[in-house]
This record gives sequence, structure tokens and C-alpha cells, in this order.
Amino acid sequence: MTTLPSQAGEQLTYLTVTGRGLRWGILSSVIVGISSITEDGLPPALRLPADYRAQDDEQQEERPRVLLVLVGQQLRSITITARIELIEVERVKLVPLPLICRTEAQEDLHVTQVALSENSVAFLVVEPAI
Amino acid sequence: MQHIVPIRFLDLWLALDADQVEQILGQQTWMRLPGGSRVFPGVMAWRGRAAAVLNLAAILPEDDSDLPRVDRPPRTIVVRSHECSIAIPVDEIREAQLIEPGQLKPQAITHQRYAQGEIDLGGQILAVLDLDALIDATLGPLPTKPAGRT
Repeated sequence: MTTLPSQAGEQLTYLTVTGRGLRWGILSSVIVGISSITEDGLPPALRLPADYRAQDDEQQEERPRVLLVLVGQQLRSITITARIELIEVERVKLVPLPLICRTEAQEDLHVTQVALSENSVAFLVVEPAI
Repeated sequence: MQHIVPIRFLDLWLALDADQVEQILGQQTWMRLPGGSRVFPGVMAWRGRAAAVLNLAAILPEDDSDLPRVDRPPRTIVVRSHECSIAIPVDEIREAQLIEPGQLKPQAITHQRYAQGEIDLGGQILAVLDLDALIDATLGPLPTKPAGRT
């Protein structure tokens, strides 16, 4: 299992997932690890729309990977086959998600901000639901 | 007196209140939101912030398709309603027209949702969109602020 930078003093980064016209990112500090194991022994799956899994992208990787995410005190998992990348926080400008775009859906992750790079949307910032 | 800006989406002409128009742009890229609504399915970068993208297809009088448009409309008009910046992809935008107070009439011919009325422009009847009503319907009534923008 791969671990990500999370200790104080290390570069604050977003782990971004790209696929099917969607790119979302989450602070790497809430990612406990990345695993290639997709069978038994995984924590329960995150409650999310299928969009998050971002499969069937042209850049799809053959081997599924599992992100282990800390939601409150609970460990949850999401299986992806899309490209992932670490982006330093200081490389993007964070702006609020327009109020009118927010949803009240009962999901484990919520889009809270939009990360801009130059004059385009770099990715959507998601945070675990409290 | 009021200025309106005619816009075309697919084969339907509508009008927007010119006072709400912030900018007219060409084709823009935007990012859809996971689990987003059909009416506001995504966001677009605009002037250093995120504008909500309005999918006009979702509020047309006869919305009988769940399929999004395959092509991307060639123009984008950015408007402001309440405190929200909204980007609307459209097919065509015409120059602003001045209308007299009596020209805006209650809807009789058009069946557009969220319309403040309709006007006759050279024999063509256009519904004038009421974006404030659309925002209210989505969010619930918002307190109005006298001035200033976020």
C-alpha cells in the first residue's frame, strides 16, 4: 500500500482523480493510503455518485486502485481506474462553489470549492462529510 | 424602459434582461459536477471565480429528453442574478433591444418556465427569462442586498 504525505512540515497536496470530463481532488492528508487490492478486506465503499469513479476514460489505467479515505472516524474506500496526480495546494487558486450548485444529497464526499488554474477550472475540491 | 438581449438555444429564441448581462463570450469549457442537477450541472471559471453553468435545455417548455446536448454551443452569456454569476451556453446572441414598458406582456403564447412575460419583436414572440425566479426556485428566496458583489 502506498502512503501519502500527511505529516506536519510536508508539502500540502491534493490528490486529483481525472476521467470522463471530470477532475476532482481531495487533500492528501485524508487519504490514508492507496491500495491495489480490490477484493476482500476493504473498508465499506464511499456513498457517492458513480461520476466519482471516473472510469472509461481514454487515459484509463488497466489496474483498478483503491483510495482509502478517512470520513470522520470511519475508513471508507473508493475504487478508481482513472489517472491520479498529486498537485501542490499553492499551484491553484481556491474559490467557493456557487451556492446554487450545492446539493443536499447524503454522500460521503461533498464538493466544497473549485480550484482554478489560470483561467480555467483545474479540479473540484471535495471534502469528507462531517 | 428596459433593454433585453435576445438569445437562441437550439431553435428557441428567448430574451434576457440586459441589466443582468455581465459579459458575452465565445465557446467556453466548463466542468460538470458529480451528482449535479440538470439545471445547474457544472461550473466555469470566470473573472477569477466560479460561475454556475445553466443548462437551458432543462428549463425549456418541452423538456422531454434526459440526454444532454452532444455539441457545445458556440456562445456563452454570463449573467448575474441575486448574488450568483451564471454562465449560459447558447447558440446565438443578438444585440440588445430597447422595449417600452407596455411591450412586456403576460405570457399568452409562450410556455417558458421562469419567465417574467413575453414580448413581440418584429412579429416573433419571445419569453423574457426571470432568472431571479429560477434562483429562488432552486435555493429558496434570498435576502436582497442593496449593492456590492461577492
